[in-house]
Amino acid sequence: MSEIENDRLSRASRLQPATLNEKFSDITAATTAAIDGTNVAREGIDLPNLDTNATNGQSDIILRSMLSASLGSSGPGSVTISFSTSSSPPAAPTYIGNEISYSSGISLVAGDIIRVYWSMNVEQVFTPNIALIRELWWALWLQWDITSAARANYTEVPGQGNFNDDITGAGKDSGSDVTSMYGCSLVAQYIRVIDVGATTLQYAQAPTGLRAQAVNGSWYYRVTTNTTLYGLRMVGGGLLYPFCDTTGALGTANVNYLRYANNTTPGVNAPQQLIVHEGKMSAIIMRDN
Amino acid sequence: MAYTPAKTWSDGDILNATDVMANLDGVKQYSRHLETGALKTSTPWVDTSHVMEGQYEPTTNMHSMVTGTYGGQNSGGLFSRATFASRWNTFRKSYSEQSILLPQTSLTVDLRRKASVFFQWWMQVQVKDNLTGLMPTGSLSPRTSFWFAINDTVAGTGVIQKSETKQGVPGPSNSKSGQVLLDGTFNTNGFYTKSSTTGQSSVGFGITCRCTGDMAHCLAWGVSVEVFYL
Repeated sequence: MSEIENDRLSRASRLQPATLNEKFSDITAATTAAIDGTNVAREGIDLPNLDTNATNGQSDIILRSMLSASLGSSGPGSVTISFSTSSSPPAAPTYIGNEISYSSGISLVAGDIIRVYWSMNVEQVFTPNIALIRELWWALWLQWDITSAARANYTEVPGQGNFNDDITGAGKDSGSDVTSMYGCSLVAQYIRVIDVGATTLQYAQAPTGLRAQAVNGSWYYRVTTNTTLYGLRMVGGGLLYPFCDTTGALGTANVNYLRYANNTTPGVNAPQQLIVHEGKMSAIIMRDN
Repeated sequence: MAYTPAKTWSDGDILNATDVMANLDGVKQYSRHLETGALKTSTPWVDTSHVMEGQYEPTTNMHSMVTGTYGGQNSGGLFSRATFASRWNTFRKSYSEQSILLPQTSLTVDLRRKASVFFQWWMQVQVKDNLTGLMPTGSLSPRTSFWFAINDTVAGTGVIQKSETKQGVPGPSNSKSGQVLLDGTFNTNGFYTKSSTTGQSSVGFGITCRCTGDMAHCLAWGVSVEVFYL
């Protein structure tokens, strides 16, 4: 109870120093680490009462961090993701610079909320092969580093697979369960084009003006255990094809996967590339307590 | 640190008006600038009843709170607030490209303190015919592009378009009436973050567009802004 209760001086009594001093020492007592809710009126706290951050409002009360990074650079051909012609993919995913780095790490506590957004422009490159066409996809996904400031140990964020985990092993096309794709954007490699006046649908490499398309995605995560975050980055890989394990040969029956294509997959004919440019990634970390 | 009276009386002191006034002035000054050490920190004591109530502005759909400002606009029902990009308003002179603000997609925010701002948009765009056949020099096919842009009216910088937020939408070939894809629609999505070191200014956030084709219908769209003061 820090409310100041100050009795009036009595007109009938002689004024003693102690009585007078008490008028002010009461205030001293009340302002010795004692001011609390009883001193503040309803709706008495507004922005001027709060110790906000001097430059950006990131006071760790609501907002802990808001950072951005450019993906690729302006113009075409910035980052090229190439399909591996190996008979046993996958190749390591291609890093799409730049990363968002927390130089000395940001300590996350359980309940903190991470929001990551990304957008970029992509162009598919391939040699048309209409006879063997099938559905093939590129994947662009999010990784984080929670190991050290060196940021040399990027791994997939929670809820996201690396397309080499749910199905793996010799003689198998690697892949991930489609339910493990929380931090991922997919890009179709082929666009179905119909020319004016034509009656035949064609799968073809898109005309120059059509190629660059917008891709975007986001990932939200509520931190479950205390950890330190050092970096976030986007990577890309492919080509991938959809596969349903109807028999359960790979585990549970009737599970849908995206699997890496190999050089014998129908519709694959090198070179196959995805060019990423003019992109951006932002990460917002918020506190909920 | 607690309030400290300038004068403490002892037996035999003369009671001067200046001493009393000095002590009272000290109380007044202290009450206007409480120090950290005066606050009770052993237990949390601020609850929602202590914090200034937020305001809602229904016309602009903006909430102004102590923690920040939040709001947005969207297209509503289908065709109720469609907007557009076209070479007829982004190419004001022959073959001279010019970006303009996409109608209806801008928000003006009064930043009351130093803040971090997060703006995002989504949009479904339908690209239709390109019958006029008048293409800018060097253009192989019509394209529509969208960017995030800031309009700082206080700084007087005008509309600044952020190139790294570009979202491109292709169009049909020159002089062709067909749509590019079978349904002619594309999704775009963009965002931008900005730390503002100039509080209490009126800042506009929105989308700019540039189109080399006849028309790009923005059928469904939404924009939102989040301003963090804390």
